[in-house]
Amino acid sequence: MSPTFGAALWTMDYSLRATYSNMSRTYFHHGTVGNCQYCFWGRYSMGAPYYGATAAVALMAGASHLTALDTGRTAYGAYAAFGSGGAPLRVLLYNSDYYAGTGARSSQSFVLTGLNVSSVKAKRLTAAGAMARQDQGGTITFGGQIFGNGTCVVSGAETFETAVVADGSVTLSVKATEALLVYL
Amino acid sequence: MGTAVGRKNIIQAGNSNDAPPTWGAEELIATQNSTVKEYVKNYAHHNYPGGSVTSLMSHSGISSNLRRFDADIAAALRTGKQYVFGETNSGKPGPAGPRTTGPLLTRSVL
Repeated sequence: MSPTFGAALWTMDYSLRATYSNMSRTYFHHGTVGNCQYCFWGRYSMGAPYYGATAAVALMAGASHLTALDTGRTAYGAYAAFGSGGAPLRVLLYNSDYYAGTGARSSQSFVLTGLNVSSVKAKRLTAAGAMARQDQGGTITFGGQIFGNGTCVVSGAETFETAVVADGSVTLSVKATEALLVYL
Repeated sequence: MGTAVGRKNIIQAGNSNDAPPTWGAEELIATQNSTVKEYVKNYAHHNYPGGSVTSLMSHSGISSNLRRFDADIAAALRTGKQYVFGETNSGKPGPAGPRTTGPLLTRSVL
């Protein structure tokens, strides 16, 4: 599979859903670097799947368990990661509606309830469309940051969005072919 | 070999050329003898869903693809052993794939 942004979103959702399914570890096969379409990176360029893997890790980092909040029967996914004390740490929202990169881009609203904070911050995983490829000059960002070609070094300012919680509830919009990592 | 090194729970057991339940942990657990199973550390399978970008990234498609492993994972966990994707990625590996290059191991943080 070519290193498109759509493949990056697969890497993210697949890793999380496998973990939810009680898969203890997921070993991603990598072929010859520089001659491997689905590798996380090439010799001289970033592979988009690296961004998806990074977003999945950002949800799970330091967590003791996670769960899926959806049935897996629609185009929209949601996962919550919990700390060792049982408190929810982060939620990842995924809109898998396909956006080719031209025309109107639809969005899906997700409502989180039962929150006891006044606002939440979030990092968005996005690109111009599902076929965007960094190795072909496209731009993929996670929280406004990119990973450098040939180095994997992160650059750019880490950017968080803020959303106001009202009466314990917050509504978050995720565009087609996009994901949002919410810090609770 | 297990006798030689004096250790059990050392082998990752898997057979990957067909999906569960034809091949997999449930089938291995049912057919292997108890001596062999003492040396199994965990069970593994391979998965390359492939398809178009549209179908690959579909959340319902991903969930459906992984549900095929639910019973196999449960079978391994019932024996007290973990289940892993020993080798997976989006598309089919090419001829220069797993037989000639070592998989890069990416461990989930959980």
